Amino acid sequence: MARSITLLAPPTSPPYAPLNPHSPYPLHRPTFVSVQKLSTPEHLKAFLLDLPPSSPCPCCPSSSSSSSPASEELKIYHKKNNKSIVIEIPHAMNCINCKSICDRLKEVTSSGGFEGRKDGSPLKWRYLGSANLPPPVPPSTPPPFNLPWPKFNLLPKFIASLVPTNVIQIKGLPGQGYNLLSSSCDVTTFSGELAGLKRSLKIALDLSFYQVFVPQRLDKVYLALPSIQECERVKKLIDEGALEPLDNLETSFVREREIAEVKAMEDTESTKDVVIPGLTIVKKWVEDTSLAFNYFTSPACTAWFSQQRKRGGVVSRKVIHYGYVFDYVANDILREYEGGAGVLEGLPVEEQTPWSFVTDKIRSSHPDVNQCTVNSYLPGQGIGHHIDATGFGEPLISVSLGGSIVMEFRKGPLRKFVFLEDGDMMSLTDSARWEWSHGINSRMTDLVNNKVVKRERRVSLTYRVAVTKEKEVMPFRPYVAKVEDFVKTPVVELEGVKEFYNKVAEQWHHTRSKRGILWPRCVEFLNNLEKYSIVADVGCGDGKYLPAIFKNGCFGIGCDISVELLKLCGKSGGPDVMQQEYDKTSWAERPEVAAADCLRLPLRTSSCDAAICIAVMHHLSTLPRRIMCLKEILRILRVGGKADVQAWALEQEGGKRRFGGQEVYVPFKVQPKYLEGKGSGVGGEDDGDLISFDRYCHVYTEGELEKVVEEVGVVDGKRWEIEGKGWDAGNWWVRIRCVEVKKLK
Amino acid sequence: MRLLTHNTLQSPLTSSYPLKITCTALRHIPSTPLTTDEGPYDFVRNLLENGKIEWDGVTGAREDLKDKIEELAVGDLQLPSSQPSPDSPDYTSTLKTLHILLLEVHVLEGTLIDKENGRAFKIDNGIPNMILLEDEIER
Repeated sequence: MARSITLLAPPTSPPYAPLNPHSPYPLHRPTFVSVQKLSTPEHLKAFLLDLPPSSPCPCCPSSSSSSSPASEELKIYHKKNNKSIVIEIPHAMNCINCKSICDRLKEVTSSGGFEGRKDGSPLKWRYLGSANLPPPVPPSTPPPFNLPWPKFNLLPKFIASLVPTNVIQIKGLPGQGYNLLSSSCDVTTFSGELAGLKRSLKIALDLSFYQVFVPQRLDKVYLALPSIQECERVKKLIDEGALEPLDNLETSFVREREIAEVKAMEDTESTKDVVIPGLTIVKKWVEDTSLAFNYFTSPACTAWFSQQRKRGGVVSRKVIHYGYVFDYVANDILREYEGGAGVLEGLPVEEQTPWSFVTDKIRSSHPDVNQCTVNSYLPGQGIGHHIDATGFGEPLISVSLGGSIVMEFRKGPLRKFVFLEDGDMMSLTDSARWEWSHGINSRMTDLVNNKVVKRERRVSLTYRVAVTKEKEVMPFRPYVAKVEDFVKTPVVELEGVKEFYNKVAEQWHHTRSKRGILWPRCVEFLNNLEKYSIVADVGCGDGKYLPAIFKNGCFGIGCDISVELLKLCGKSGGPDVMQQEYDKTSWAERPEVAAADCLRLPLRTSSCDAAICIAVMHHLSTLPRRIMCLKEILRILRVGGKADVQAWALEQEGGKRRFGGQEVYVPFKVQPKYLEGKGSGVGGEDDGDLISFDRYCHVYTEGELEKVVEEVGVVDGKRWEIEGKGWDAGNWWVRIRCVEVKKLK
Repeated sequence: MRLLTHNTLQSPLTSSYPLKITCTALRHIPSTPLTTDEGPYDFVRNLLENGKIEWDGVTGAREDLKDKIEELAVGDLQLPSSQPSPDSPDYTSTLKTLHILLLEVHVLEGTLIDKENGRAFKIDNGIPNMILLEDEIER
């Protein structure tokens, strides 16, 4: 079958965009192609071996070979269906810089050199990717296929729903995981890159049945496999370097992570001494719950549940509202809801239902109760941490039916775990209602008194009192400052600021960038900067002031404690833009940022001409820390440099916002979709209603900000001079200038 | 991270300056001028002549990134060993080099290393992480 085919010389200019030359992957690696609709693979192999070598390539002469590849260099792998083969081509035969090997093969075989099929139809070549890894060897027996296979778009939920599961998490893939093939990738090619990633993993790890899922944050890849043995094999391969040169990969079984979670689960016993004022639990308050439970889990009622979901927003666990319907989008009750608003008696099907006795029992002691929400939880489902909306007063009464769960209460660093079983009644008033948040962690088991308790299907009836608007109570809760260790970052800041912003970054960016409001005082400050200034944005968040800095002809460097917020700097399209927009050229669109603590700025002394510090000071929990922040800003400014410092004021105008005191937690509501891919934290994988996160704030009173400035003193021969101060739109501001301290001679 | 940012960064741990760069991904992204009324190198010229650029920081970074810069194919970006005065003969070409080096070269992945104690700060997606661990905070 030896034939002589003249290969076309590679064109002088590449017809395809060359792969990114800065790609971290070395060029010397084999390439994989597959060919389909082939009747005689051996025939093709003989043909390929007989091919003359390609002529030296102009762009990488060193990679071209002058000799034909030896037969052992050309490896062919048969697919099980015998309809296609995979060919591994050593680097010597191709040059990925100038022309794809696949196209060359296509060209050669279609130019009459090889009759691949009897009917003369052309062969189908597919480029599979390259890797320098052990060649794929077909497994002798296919691994057992013991899972119901989910559709791709169901996978996140699928992963969350399995406990001892066969999923491996791979972290550390370069370019955040999706681009094994090249490091340049934009949104339009994302799906193509994902396909490339899948193919590369398939070949590198010799996978037969697998699913790849890349969560929205792109920081890791989930690989779901049919058996635990297969998982172990693949993990071993990766750990041994099968995906080299992509080093620093971290692999872990998702199962392991979950086991770790179980280990980390706190026993209800550990918090039994924590007392929450206003929390009352009556065990076995309803003797026999079977009637009510069976009613809500009956097929007819399940259908009713599905119908109900259409009103007032959608949550994943099943919900029915009686009385006022709750609107999960507005996080309030629907006041104008036609058809039975406020009428708890308006029961779904008939007047007397199998659970009416529960309502009657509640109303005998609490006649005010006028709203009831029925939640149906499957094992593994939870509810994000929240304090119930202010549209409801107190008490808030919850009755558990069916399975048991552990509910977690939180207030600042305090925790209490409460075990609720079938028939238990829990009532929340006072502090428990307004100051402590409660939630149910999304998991399959709980730890009660040193025993692991499996969750079962659970129905909860929550009775509340819908109040009129005028009676509403502000949900801000006071934070009582403790004598913290001034050196280390106080827990309240780690949790209520750093963790808070990292968790809510996407929603934050989404809602704020839509509003696009810059504080006017600061804009005025930036507009008056001298051109060619270097400006530090201390606490830049998602960088909303950075464009204004660049547009004024200055160079801005943003610093923030939240890496997640920094990742969103310069992103225009909101959180659904799935990649860092590397190719933006305008300065404003490619801002400069560094993750940093505002008390330890990583900028050299006297390097900046100006600084802004907007909405940062109110996140520092002690006076020494506030002083230290302004000391750092003073240090980095040159003499004559100016700073604009603004923070929330206790004194607010109008009814929009009101603070109960200077130390407050201000809740921020997040739609669960923005939390996707963040395994950490309670509620992170919960598809429930809006999840509330606590943000710690110390709001300033009149004159307080200036006092902090005055406390700063001298840093590196410089001190602050106050140029202006005032109150503007709910914020206190100071404009300060760095002046030289005259030395006495 | 542009090298102008690197030029202002110091270690939050020891205040060591400049930080050594190791880099696995470097990009050259041509930059549009900040405003329409400026000449191509006005920005760096202004910074340089007003003493806002640490020359040791630039040459240090240039040395750290030597191999990677060669791969960029934007010229060898050689700089004089000490800061040139505006009347030196190659001043314009130095400004051009400085412009590319400080404003158009982006370190996407790598680390910044504190030369005093070896602490490495990771650069991920062009964002250096200069946050200290709680255990490292002493003052």
